[in-house]
Amino acid sequence: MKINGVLIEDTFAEAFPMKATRLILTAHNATWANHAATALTGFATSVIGCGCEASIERQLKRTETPDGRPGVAVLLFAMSNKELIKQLQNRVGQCVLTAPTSACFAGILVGDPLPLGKALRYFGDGYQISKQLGSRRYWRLPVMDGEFLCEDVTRVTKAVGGGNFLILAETQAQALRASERAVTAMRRLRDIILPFPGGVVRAGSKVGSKYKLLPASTNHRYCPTLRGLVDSALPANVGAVLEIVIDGLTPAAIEQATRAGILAACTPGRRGGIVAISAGNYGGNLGPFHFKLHEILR
Amino acid sequence: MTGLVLTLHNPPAFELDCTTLNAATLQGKTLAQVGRLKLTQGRHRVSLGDLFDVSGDTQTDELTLLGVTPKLHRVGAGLASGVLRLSGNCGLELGLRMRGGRLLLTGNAGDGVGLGLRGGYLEVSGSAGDFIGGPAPGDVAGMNNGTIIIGRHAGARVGERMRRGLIIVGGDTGPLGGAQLIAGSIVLLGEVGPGLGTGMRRGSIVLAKPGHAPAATFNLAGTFDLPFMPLLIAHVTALKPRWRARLAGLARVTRWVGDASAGGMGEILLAS
Repeated sequence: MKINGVLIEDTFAEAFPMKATRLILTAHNATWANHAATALTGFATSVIGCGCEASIERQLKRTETPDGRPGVAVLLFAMSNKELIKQLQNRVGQCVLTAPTSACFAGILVGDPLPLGKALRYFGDGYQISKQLGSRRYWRLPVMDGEFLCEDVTRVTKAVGGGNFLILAETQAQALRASERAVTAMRRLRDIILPFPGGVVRAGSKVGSKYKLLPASTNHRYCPTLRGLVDSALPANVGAVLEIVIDGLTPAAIEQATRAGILAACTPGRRGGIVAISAGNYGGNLGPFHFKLHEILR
Repeated sequence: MTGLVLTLHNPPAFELDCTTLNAATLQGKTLAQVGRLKLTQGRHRVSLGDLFDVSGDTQTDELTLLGVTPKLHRVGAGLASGVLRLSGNCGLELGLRMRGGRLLLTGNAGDGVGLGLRGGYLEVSGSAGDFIGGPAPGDVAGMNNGTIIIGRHAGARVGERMRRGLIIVGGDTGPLGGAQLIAGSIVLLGEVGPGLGTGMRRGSIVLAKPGHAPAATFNLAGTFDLPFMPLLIAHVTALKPRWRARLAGLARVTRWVGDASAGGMGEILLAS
């Protein structure tokens, strides 16, 4: 299969089950909502070293938020409920509670509850106030700019992590441009995040290492500078590879994002230096979700 | 009109205890069996069919009572699910210890609406008497969850000793609203009587009409844009859209904390 002359390899991305939740962060204006969201989702590129994967899902209009203020939806993914709870408490406590004018709400309303304000309320030192409206409970914590409003719990949902595709280009600059196009197209979609910096990762990894202390190490078969030294997966004309990793709330959301991303990445075409699109997998042994590129793009 | 319909054709001369009148106890019975159901009237037992015309469908969890009079007490007591619609003026202790479902009265209610409420939604379109959402007989604390809406005026001691939940009164309220409040929220849209929040320990009393001067045992905290207020306004508006304009002033509120004589952790929020 080729798109604009770019070879689409007959392979699949291998993904694994995760647990996820969505938070809605609001503030006096979009700038401060984004400050809170950016801090909350910082250092959350990979569960390998960060405990969770998190990113901004999308900007929210006033009409889309519970308190009628500008907001941001963020998604957090972790390998277990326990880890997700830990990450939520640390990140909301240190990054949202502290951000001026911010408030924090659940963005998923069905599923098992994960403590949010329920855990953070103790910061109120006895002056916190619980308020129940319908089936939803909120905590009002006195802070120096007024009150921090935080929903009692958010909800966890089954999710999929590790969807991906690789952009193989002649030069680093061409790979980067194609990646930027793909990220722009994918970030218009809901229910997914691209957790790496700018949505792109250059340090794709394989499971394991020659060093026992490392659970993952560089995906040497896709490192162009190792061609000639290892069993390289790269054609001779490929000078740079960039990967886009996708976490989604559903397999369908990842498929949709993968399709949008690949089509955008292929826009420059073969003449633009894009050689091929591939995907990272581990022979089907890592995860139960297999996103076959040809089927997605058919 | 869906579900079982009971139309009062022989208004009782004496007080009638209607505790058993809810869809759950009547569901699945034949209309004849419903008519033979006994109600307590003083020290006597009367057949439901002697007082009410019975019609409709008993297979649903909806019950409608038409022509309710103030002699009918404890209607909807212990309601746990389904819908109970009432038309007329109801007696004492409407929705006593109700746990769930929806109780909708078109008309006025006597004292003790929603005493000991544990959940559900109770709405009176007209006015109601004293002790709304207060403690049920023998209880220390008042309502513990759920929502009570009074469309017009309410009597004294609205939400006395209330523990949790939401009470909204569209009209004026009598003295000692929120007295000894333990927690929960009371939203009052009209004029309020004296002694508001007397002895309240925690909880919120929200006044949509500016101008009230809290008692000397309340201290002024200041005027704020509390992030919780838009949620409260949206919630009340969703329940009663026609009150939207009257809630507008609550976007910015003056906060009084008190009652200092009872710990001072409660609040009266005044529309600015």
